[in-house]
Amino acid sequence: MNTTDMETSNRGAGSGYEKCTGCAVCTLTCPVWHQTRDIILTAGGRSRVLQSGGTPEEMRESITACVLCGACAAVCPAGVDTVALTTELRAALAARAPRGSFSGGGKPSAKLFFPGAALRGNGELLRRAASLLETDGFTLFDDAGLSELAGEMETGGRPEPEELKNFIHSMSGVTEIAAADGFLHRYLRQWLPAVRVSGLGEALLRKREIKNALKAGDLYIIETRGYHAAHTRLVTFYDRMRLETGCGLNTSLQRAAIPTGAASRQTVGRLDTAEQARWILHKRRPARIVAESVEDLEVFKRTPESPEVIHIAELARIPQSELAGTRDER
Amino acid sequence: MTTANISSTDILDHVAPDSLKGIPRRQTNPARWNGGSWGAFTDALRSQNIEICEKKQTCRVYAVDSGGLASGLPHGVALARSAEQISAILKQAQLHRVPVTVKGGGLTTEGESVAFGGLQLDMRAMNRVLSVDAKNMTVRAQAGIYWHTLGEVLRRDGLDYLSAPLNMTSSVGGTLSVGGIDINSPRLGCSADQAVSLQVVTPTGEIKECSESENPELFERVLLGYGQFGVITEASMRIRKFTPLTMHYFYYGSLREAMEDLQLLVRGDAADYCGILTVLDKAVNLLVAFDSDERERAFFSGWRGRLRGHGQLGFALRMTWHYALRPWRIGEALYLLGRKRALEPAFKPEHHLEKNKIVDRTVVFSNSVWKFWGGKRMVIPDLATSAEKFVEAIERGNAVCRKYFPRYTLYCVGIKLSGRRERYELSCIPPDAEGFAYGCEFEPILGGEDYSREYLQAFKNEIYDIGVEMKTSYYRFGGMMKGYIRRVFGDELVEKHLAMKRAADPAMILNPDVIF
Ligand SMILES: Cc1cc2nc3c(=O)[nH]c(=O)nc-3n(C[C@H](O)[C@H](O)[C@H](O)COP(=O)(O)OP(=O)(O)OC[C@H]3O[C@@H](n4cnc5c(N)ncnc54)[C@H](O)[C@@H]3O)c2cc1C
Ligand code: SF4
Ligand code: SF4
Repeated sequence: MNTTDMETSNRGAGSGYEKCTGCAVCTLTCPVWHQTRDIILTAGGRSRVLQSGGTPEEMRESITACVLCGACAAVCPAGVDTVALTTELRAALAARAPRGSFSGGGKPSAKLFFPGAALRGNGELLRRAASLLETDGFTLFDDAGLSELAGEMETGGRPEPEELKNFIHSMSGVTEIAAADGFLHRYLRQWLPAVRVSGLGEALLRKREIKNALKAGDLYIIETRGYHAAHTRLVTFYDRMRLETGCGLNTSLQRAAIPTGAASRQTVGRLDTAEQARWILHKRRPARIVAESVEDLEVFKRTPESPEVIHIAELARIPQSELAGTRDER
Repeated sequence: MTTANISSTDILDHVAPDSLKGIPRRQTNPARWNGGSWGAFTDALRSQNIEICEKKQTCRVYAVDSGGLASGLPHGVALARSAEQISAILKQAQLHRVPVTVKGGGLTTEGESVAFGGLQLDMRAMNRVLSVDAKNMTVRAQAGIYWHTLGEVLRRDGLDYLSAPLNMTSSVGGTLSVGGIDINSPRLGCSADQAVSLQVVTPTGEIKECSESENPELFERVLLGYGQFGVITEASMRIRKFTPLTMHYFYYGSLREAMEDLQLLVRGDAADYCGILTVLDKAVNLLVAFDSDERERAFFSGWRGRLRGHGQLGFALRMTWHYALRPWRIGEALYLLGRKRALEPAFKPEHHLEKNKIVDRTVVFSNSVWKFWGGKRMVIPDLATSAEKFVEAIERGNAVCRKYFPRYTLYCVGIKLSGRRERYELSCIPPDAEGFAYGCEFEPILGGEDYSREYLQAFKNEIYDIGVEMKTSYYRFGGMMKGYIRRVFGDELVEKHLAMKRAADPAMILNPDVIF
């Protein structure tokens, strides 16, 4: 083994992959497994390859196949941090220089709303979400730099330490962040441990008008990355919401959320998002689909089996005059 | 020397009747197949567009089963795709005398699904539900499907399978091959008895449908057949309506009383689900559960008064008194308390409760099993007995556990037999069982302790020896403990089955090291 191999095979160490028992419980929730049935392409497969001395290069296909939905991490009985495992292995493969500036801008506020790239790309939905959150004291934050960083981190990049310090400093005084990009949740919690981090869905569902607008025939599509990043807490939150509203959820019997995989920024992926949507809809006849994430919204809109598909921000009626201005264009 | 030069008997029948006598019994892996004809075998398959993965890192992922102690390395791995593909593989395997080891969930613990060279056939890639017949209450599925995946699909129709291991990642085919015990087995029997018909690829590559009326001999051989007589590729099974269930626990300080009460409930069909789960032999938990309020009411009016178990409060008071008189055993008391605190919420998570009923019990149990009992090495010897031998065998097994480990769990269930079936011969169902059989798993909690393989093996041997002395059977049946099969069942029966195996599998290539 040469030095590079030695270095790279040490990657993944922070994830606790050595604890993996090979129980394969992670396969049950894994969309890649669902579509390929190849154990090597799953979190358990990667852990076992590493345990037996495999290198990231030997696992390239597996490492790139993952859509980082985090479902496996939520259910792994051995507590392997499978998301960290994949991102660390991607970093080992990419061996990229750390990313520079990513701090954003906006009005200083204790409560910030990070819309993420997909929502920023949809002006109408962005204005709706921002208006709804504004009434709860959230200020829309320009998180374009952070979105770029998230994209890089997902594919093997990492933040430049000095820039990370600046970002953390810029967030002093912030007590709560609602972030639509679930991938960022785990990192925001690590970087800003005193800040309450929630997803867009969770933040909006706290509003009575949103929850009341959900109906028994609805199928509610949880944004998977954020959900799995705080699974222990959110599993109860969404289960109560389901019991209160009577709506269905895109959850499996293990109470993991079934992903479409559409949020993945890994371009070499092999996941068919339409097949995932079909599996979520299998034998279900919802009257309406309500999606938390714009990426999922688009997948379901493209799926012929779908009924009416709306974004969670469309659940509340907001008069045109009260829609948040044009903050996204500033 | 290539395998072609020596007879199949020499290669594969290496456990002679008395091979264990007079030698220290150690855990042994079978010799690895030497790979002589591997190249010709894979060339032939590739010419038929059958993919075989020979990458070292892939083969290594298949090196162990859930036991983690038997270690083998296949020469290559094939993901099962269709009965036709498996047929082609087995035909070439016969021709080139290449061992093929079938793996479903790989939840065996004695290496039964580990390939010691040759081809590992991973059935999990065949995991589709093919059809659900809600009118006749049957499902047809590919046999590599996990029970959990089957349950997930059936739930979309408000349906459920009958009984399956409390383990989400065991496969239908693997389970039908070994038995399959659930806490509803006292009512519904073992999982293998749910099968209505099967599609099987025989060791010589024929694709056959079998059931009680079509090719019944094959049906009886393949069910509980440990993969000796064919690869199950599809299974039709009986199903039922999905119901959430109510669960109650009764606590015993005496293992014997709990076992006797379990037998009382099993005989009387008093509960829809029942079983024993212990913390050491100090906190013995008899769990009962019900699919309907009527059954629950009937239990409380007709049976509860006859059980000697306590409710939680009564048991806590007894335990407090017990340990107050034995202060030197405070360590044990604290362990019991800690275990109770950890296990209780795990077995009743809020998000799996609806109107106080448990929804998706297999998920709840399986998660807890892996979390609290799982590990990289799992040593779970067991005994399967007739009703008459149950209490004595398990008390003896319990004494062995106490001798070897400070922390352990026993898991006991009853199994309803469906009459006298050929499939029960030379299987986990004991030959003298009538009406019901009983099983107990003895599971030490290894924790971080670094027990030597010899120590673990000595423990297993002592449990298995009870089976030999009392003429019981074992639930885990084969692999590294196959030497016990002859000792328990005798040469005559084993020879009879070996002759059947030779006739069905002339080159002895299918799961060669599991039973014979
Ligand atoms: C933590 C844990 C908990 C368990 N709990 C239970 C329990 O509650 N109840 C219970 O009954 N068991 C239990 N077991 C044992 C295990 O679940 C059973 O042995 C299991 O049903 C086997 O299924 P599998 O798919 O894992 O089979 P494998 O381990 O893959 O295979 C079992 C045997 O069948 C053969 N085989 C596999 N697939 C096929 C096929 N399609 N056709 C022909 N032969 C095949 C294999 O070669 C092997 O010999 C447990 C095991 C563990 C590790
Ligand atoms: S669930 Fe966890 S322990 Fe089990 S195979 Fe997957 S990564 Fe390994
Ligand atoms: S993160 Fe999602 S896609 Fe990746 S291995 Fe886990 S379950 Fe599969």
